[in-house]
Amino acid sequence: MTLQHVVGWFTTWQGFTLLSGAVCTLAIYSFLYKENQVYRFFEHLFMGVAGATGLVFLCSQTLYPKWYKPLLSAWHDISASGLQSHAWWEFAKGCLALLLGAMWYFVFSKRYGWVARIVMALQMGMAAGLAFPTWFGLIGPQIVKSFKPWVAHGLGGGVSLGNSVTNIVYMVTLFTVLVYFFFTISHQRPSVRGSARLGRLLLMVTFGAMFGNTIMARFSLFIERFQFLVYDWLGVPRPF
Amino acid sequence: MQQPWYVRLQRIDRRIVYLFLVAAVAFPMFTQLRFPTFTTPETQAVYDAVERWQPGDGPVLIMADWGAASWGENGPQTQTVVAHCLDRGVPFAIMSTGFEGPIYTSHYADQAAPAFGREYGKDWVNFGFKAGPNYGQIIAAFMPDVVKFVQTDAKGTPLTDHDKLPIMRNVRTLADFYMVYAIGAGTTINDWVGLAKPRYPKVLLSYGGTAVTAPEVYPLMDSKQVVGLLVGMAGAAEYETLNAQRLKKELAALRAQRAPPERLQALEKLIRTAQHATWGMSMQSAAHLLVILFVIVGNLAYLYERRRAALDREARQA
Amino acid sequence: MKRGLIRLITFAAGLILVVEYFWPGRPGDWLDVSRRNYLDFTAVVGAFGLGVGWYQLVHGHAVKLARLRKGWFHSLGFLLTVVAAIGLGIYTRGMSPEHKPGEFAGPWPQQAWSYMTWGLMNPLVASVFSLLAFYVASAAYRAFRIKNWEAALMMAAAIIVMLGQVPVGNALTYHLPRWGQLPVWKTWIMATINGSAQRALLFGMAVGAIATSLRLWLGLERGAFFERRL
Repeated sequence: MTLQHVVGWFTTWQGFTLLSGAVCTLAIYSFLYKENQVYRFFEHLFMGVAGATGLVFLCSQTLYPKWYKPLLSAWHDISASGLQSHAWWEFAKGCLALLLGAMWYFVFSKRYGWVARIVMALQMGMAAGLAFPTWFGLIGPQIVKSFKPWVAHGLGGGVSLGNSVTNIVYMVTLFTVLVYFFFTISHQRPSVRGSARLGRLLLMVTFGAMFGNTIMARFSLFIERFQFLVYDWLGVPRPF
Repeated sequence: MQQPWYVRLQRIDRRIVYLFLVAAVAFPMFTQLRFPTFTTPETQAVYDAVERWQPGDGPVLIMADWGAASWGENGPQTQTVVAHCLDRGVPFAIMSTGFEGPIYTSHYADQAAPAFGREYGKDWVNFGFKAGPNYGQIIAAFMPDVVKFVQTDAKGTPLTDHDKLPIMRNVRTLADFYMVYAIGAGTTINDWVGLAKPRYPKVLLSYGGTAVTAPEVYPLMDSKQVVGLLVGMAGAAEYETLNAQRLKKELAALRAQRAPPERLQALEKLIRTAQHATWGMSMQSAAHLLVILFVIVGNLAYLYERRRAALDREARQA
Repeated sequence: MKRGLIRLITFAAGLILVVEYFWPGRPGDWLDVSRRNYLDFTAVVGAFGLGVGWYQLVHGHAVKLARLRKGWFHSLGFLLTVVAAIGLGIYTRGMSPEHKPGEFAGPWPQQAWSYMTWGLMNPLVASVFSLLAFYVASAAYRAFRIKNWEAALMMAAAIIVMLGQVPVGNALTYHLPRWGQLPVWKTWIMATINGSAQRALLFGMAVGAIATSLRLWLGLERGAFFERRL
């Protein structure tokens, strides 16, 4: 960290951005000591800037090119050509999209709140309709690939003990975990009890693996922030 | 009455725990301690998929559905794959259903492009943020007619303007893409696999996810619906290692060819700076060791407490 | 009558996409083009709805500020940020801030707009989510107790995966044969045991999701949202 680097915090856009980033980070981290007003204030700044920039990009990158520009273009065409225009369908589509889009905001009305449900019904119906091809497309190959050979071959062509054991463990895990989640059959039955218990143990291994991954995920976020504070803001040279 | 040491040990103020965490993460930052990375098959598979690209295969679609909330993991995953694509001359398009992803991905592309002599519009395009209420709906609308769905790039240039966006010359539907590389903090890959794979089986799918969501994608890799997977920061570090090996050879070759100094400087800077995940993994090592130590110490104290309670009970009964 | 209308709309909206599964049509024919237009159209309609939650947030904070309720200063900060961001966004026409401030030549509003992303939003969002690292470390020490064999098994798997993921785990077992190396064990656990268990969970989720979607599509769903008088 040199004097020039510190002066840059107050005199250049890059430096000021670094300083601002550091102040924001440390303000949020002050919550770790104790809940305080500085944290609350910066939390509100976070909500404001994230929400507002999202709205700006929604308008500039989605609504403007996909709705406003075609609608305006259709209107100009209709104004110029009148009934001969081919743009009536685009214009009608744009107006209908505006009407349906405006219906969302009836949710704030006590009397006419049901109008918002019309457009919600449209979106929910669509989501439900899309769920069938999505899940069938996802699950079909999964079912086929669940059946693995118990005598597996390696890359050399001969029988591979490692691959065979892996495939057996794979199928046993899949089967026992499925049995564990069959709640319509009593798990006290001797035929089911052993499988369900093994499924439970294998699920514990899975949850342990997920826990290990979660630890890495959470620490990654902090490591990135810490790298920013030390290497970028303070200007400490990286060791390699 | 003061509590016994094994009870106090289990109830240390959380702020002391936080300080230990900061100290553990800080320690590798100031040392040269570095260990070799092990490249997992799932990361190697993504790398090999990009390596196998041939001219005429179509661009890669980078679905950058991530933001600053998962920067530590998805950021390096994006940066390293973008650098690989630019290096190999694999054209790519950036899109997202969130507004942050395209900004940061484009930033990485702009930073890396000078090192490889690549240009916006010819080697990559940013479709921008395409909002919708439902991820599957956006994919379903995008797949059959990319140009009609996207309309313009993030700067407002129509996709039909092939003078400014020559990358879009032969792109009409998802079938014209080589691969979809979905990066995100949620399992967006499920929608791609369910909706896109049955209709466009030749388009490869790969996923760069946070370590929390990556375990759910392993079944998709087993069934070959997804070609490869980058698991959090570790996956990014592995990919960076593979990239760095290739980039260093290229730098040596460019020096021998006496390439323009700006290009050499840009490539040197890229090799030096595009290693966030690799640096981060040293700190991650320390953090994991600390957590394991915490679990062991906490449980040893707990087991000792239980043993003492059992002995006290036996003594009272006797 | 209103509930009937809503059920009909839900059914019709989903029918178009369900029919596609059985009657895909040829690329470019009237069916394919109609469905594309429909999906595109509904995506735009859905995009309009993203303002609903945002309006509620702004309204709540505006009321708090107007009535000077407790925390009004925070609401002032929120609203000033919103006004600044929207003002700069309009001035720059929603320019995508791919370059950090100072890294490109542009007037101060463009630099300020880029600053809102790189100097405010990025560090604030990243910091809020990075707090989780501290909570998970604290939980690992203060809350994770091995009370039975199953918890011990879970922790053993977690330790193998945690060490196998990081370079230090690779360094500890680098000299051992491949079957004894921690990263190999970690990869095996993730691909085999985790992979198959996740597949089993996926089957369960798929059955549940398809059943729920079917109920929703056919208007058979129950609950406050679906049964309330309109």
